[in-house]
Amino acid sequence: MTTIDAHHHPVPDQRPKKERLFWKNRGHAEHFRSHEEEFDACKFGMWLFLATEVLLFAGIFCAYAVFRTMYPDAWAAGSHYLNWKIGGLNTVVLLISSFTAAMAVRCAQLDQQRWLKINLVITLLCAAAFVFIKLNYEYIPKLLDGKAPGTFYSYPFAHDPHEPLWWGVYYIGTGIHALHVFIGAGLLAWVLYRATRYKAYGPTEYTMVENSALYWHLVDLVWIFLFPLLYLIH
Amino acid sequence: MNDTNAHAPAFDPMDPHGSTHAGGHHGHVIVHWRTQLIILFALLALTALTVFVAQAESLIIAEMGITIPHWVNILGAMIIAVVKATLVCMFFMQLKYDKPLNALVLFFCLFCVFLFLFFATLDLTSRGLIRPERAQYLVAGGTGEGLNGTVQDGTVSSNPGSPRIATGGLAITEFRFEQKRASYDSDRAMWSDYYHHQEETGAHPHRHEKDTTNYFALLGYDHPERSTEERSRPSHGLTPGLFAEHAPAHHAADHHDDAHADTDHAADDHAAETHTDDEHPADDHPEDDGH
Amino acid sequence: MTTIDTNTPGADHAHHDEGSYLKPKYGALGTVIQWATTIDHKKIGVMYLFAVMFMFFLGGMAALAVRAELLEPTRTMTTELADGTIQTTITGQIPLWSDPDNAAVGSNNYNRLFTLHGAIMVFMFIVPSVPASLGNFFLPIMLGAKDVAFPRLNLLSWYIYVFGSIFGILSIVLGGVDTGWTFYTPYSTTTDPDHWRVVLMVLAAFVLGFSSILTGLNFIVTVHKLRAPGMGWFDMPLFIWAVYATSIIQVLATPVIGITLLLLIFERLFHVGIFDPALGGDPVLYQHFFWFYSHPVVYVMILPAMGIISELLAVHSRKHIFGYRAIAFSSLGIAGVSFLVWGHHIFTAMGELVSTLFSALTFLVAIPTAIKVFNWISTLYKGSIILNTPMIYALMFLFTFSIGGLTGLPLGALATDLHLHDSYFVVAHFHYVMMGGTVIAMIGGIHHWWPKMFGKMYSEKGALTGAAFVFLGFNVTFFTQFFLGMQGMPRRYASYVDEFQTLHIVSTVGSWLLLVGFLIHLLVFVHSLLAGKKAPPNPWGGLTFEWETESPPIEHNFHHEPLCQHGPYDFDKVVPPHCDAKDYPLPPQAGADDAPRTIA
Repeated sequence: MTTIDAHHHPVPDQRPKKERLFWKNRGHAEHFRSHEEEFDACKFGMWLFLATEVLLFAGIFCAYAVFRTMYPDAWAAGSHYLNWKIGGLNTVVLLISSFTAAMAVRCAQLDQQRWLKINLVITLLCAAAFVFIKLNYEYIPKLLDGKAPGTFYSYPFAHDPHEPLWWGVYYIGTGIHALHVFIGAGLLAWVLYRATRYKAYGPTEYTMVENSALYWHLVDLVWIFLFPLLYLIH
Repeated sequence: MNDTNAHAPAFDPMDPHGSTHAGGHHGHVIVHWRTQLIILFALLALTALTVFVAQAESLIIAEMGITIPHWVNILGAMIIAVVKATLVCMFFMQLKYDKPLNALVLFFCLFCVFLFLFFATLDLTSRGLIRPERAQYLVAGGTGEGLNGTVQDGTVSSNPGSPRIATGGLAITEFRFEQKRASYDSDRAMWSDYYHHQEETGAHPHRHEKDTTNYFALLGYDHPERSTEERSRPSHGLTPGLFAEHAPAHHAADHHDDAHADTDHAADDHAAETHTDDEHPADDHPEDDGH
Repeated sequence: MTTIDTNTPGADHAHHDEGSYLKPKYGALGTVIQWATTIDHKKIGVMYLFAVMFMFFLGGMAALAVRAELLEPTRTMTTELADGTIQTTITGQIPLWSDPDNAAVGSNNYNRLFTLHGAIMVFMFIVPSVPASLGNFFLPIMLGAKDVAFPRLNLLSWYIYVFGSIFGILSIVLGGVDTGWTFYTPYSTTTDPDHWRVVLMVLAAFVLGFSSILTGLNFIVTVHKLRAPGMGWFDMPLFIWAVYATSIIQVLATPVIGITLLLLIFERLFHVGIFDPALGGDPVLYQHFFWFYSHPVVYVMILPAMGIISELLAVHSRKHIFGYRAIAFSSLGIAGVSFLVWGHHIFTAMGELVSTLFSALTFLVAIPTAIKVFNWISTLYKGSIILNTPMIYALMFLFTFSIGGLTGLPLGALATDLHLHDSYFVVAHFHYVMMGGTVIAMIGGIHHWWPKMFGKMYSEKGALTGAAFVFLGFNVTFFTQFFLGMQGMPRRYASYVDEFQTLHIVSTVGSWLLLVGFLIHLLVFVHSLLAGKKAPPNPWGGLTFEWETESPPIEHNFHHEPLCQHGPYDFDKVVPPHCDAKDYPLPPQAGADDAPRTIA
């Protein structure tokens, strides 16, 4: 963003963008006293943001808990429509991607540019795999069966009258989680782009890698709870 | 962990800028890849464990007929999930090496989540606990009527615009079932489609509880290797005890012999020989398939 | 690894050549672009101030219309005559917006109006009011920082606020919603057959939540990381403590309203059933979701106002604040307790067990609040009180807020609440807290900081006249509503029985006095901007950092990075900056007084 204020530096940096964004040439915003302080502030800010995300999902978990307690039979029946193998596969995919995201941070810290990119690519591939599995083996077959939320529910062979409620919680929970997968993948793709184009991340400049990875781990964390709740609890 | 080359100094609220820890990126820890890989394998193992525990539980319930209370299943799965989440937070998200402030944020947030879930669930499950006679007015938003409730005097006590109005007071699941049945000539044809569809999609077909006359057995989806009592109990799948109130009604098979005479003799024979101790006559099931 | 910048604390950054942040730079268009893309917290604070004031005006107009409607007990009577025909009579045709032949039109419009008033005042005015305007402007300056931690996020939060408000206004322009500002189901899921108005309004509240989260997140990080060298946690002004506690609530509670409103939209569009008893859901679950956010947010509204009062009382009585740590910790205490008491909004809907628990927990709120009030009163004791506008407003706050707080107790007690629930008593209570608390404190705070923000003094006489009208009008409007509520007047009704008319007329006349008061304040401010005397850097003799810089502040806030050398309220030890020692009236106790003072 360009501002006329010239707020960051009295003299604007005239170097070409490629040089300015190279990690060794990165300074810190003027209102921070040091690079270190800026890094801490950004990471602390990210954690606060993650806290808001956790509380966002708390609403879904609360709806789950309340209706699980009220209608255990509907929840058990609903859970049986889901194939734990698909859910388990997605768990494995997300765990691996979480590992590679953590590795990407390490590579940035050690200035291993090539491995940084490789790790990011693997993470993004895992994200794509997750969405593909979710859509192809879960959402589409279920929706074709008529197991849709609310009034769109047209599956005739329900075991319990409250099953549409289960599907509502299922689609909202996994849907908002999938939205977070897209956002996290977008952040990591942005990191990958800047790493490739500008070599923007290195031992003194990896805030963005770290924060995007934190976000990605949050996506993983939410799935760690969604998987047993949706697929395994009878 | 030995794999780390530094430990983050404790956060000092009086010295937020770390001016006493002069120089260097003191807080930045590079976690060894071997640590992370071990954590990954631990997480994968725990995933396998939680699946195994859940499978074992339903197997025990189905095969041995032991009733395991609900909370064992939930608690087991949740404990494993919490362990996994802790591993992710501590190592992948590096809270173990980080400033304690960030962990504090997470704890506060989880405390709020706890409060939220605790009080909301407590209220929705404890209404009428103190004055039981009020329970029916307090459950499900004060209408005292869930989906299983009855329609009285032709009026449905639900929101205007609610789907329940459009279904004529039926639950939406019932409504869809009626719709489906109306599109078939007979019950048998509908269930035939249903079980074949299950088979085609690769799912293990189970008898549906609404299949009151047990076309499941008639259509050949039986488990001859199982004993008499457990023959229509799935080893995994539907809720245990789901069929308890709908004991198999095999003489219905004779009833419909004309409709499916040449379909599956083996199944018929099997149904006939395995259901010798029939205690539940079929007259409590509506014989409402189209003729 | 080395740090790239080796600025040592207290280093001279030499921003000597800079002018006021208000100085236009690049011509008319350039100035507009400069403001629209600024990441300067002061400009964003000023933009927020004008935006929330505009919303206050809109919400206030709706309130006046509601009061005008209530002048007469509009009633519909249906009589069956002897010949079998049915005759419908409508009495009291006050409102211009109602159809004399159809009472339902008037009632629906009335419902839309109070929803409009509530939604605008809560989501668009009072939640962002103090933290986003005064907080944005003064939090970094009071900490001695150049800006908030994430300036771009700050600007983003302003734009999100603007877009959210546009959604809300669009919904109103399209015809308005009549769900009440709480969007309770089934109102919000079944009224409005076109969907779009309710969905837009709910979306507006959802979007505004993001703005609130970003502001709160920014402030927490700023307080943790950007305090001036030498400034420990207990050297911070109490306004900062209050805004810090506010931010914690904003960050932890607001996401829940996000998911709640999302669920509401799904419920509305897909009939998911979570809040619909016909599908097995529970409308009271919506109320749990909603109040888990909205109760803590009540403290988002009042906590920064309490922070302002701590500043005003200390500075304008030239006295060290009594019980600094008690006030600071009670702010955090209120933030903590705020998550435990949401159920007291839905006593009549919950089961007895949880109602009893929530009722008991509710009384916890009284403890930190009372700690604050007692400490404020003790601060005044033997201070050199200057009765200027900010001080008058601070005293007004003590009076009205105490009434508001104490009338909360009968509402928190289960037995009395059953009588008072959803009556005008509740309306009077929360207006005494929100308006008598937050709005009064905010006006006081604006007067206190006006010279600093805009570099102009205001007319003291004019402002005091306005204050008199506001105080009178406010109490006449809302004190009568306590009586109305006790007598059984329910809230949210356009029609009422004739017995209530006298009190309703008194209340409506009060609302006109209130309007006059606000108009006088508006005139005073406009006059100050156009023809006000130039403000000195420290007109009140304050000790916090904002009085060390110029009025208005320069672009980077300070010429030199400030160093915290004394507490924010050490009036007995330090001569305030930019004040001549002989001009500065030292508190009488500091001289040869009878009793030696001990400062905590």
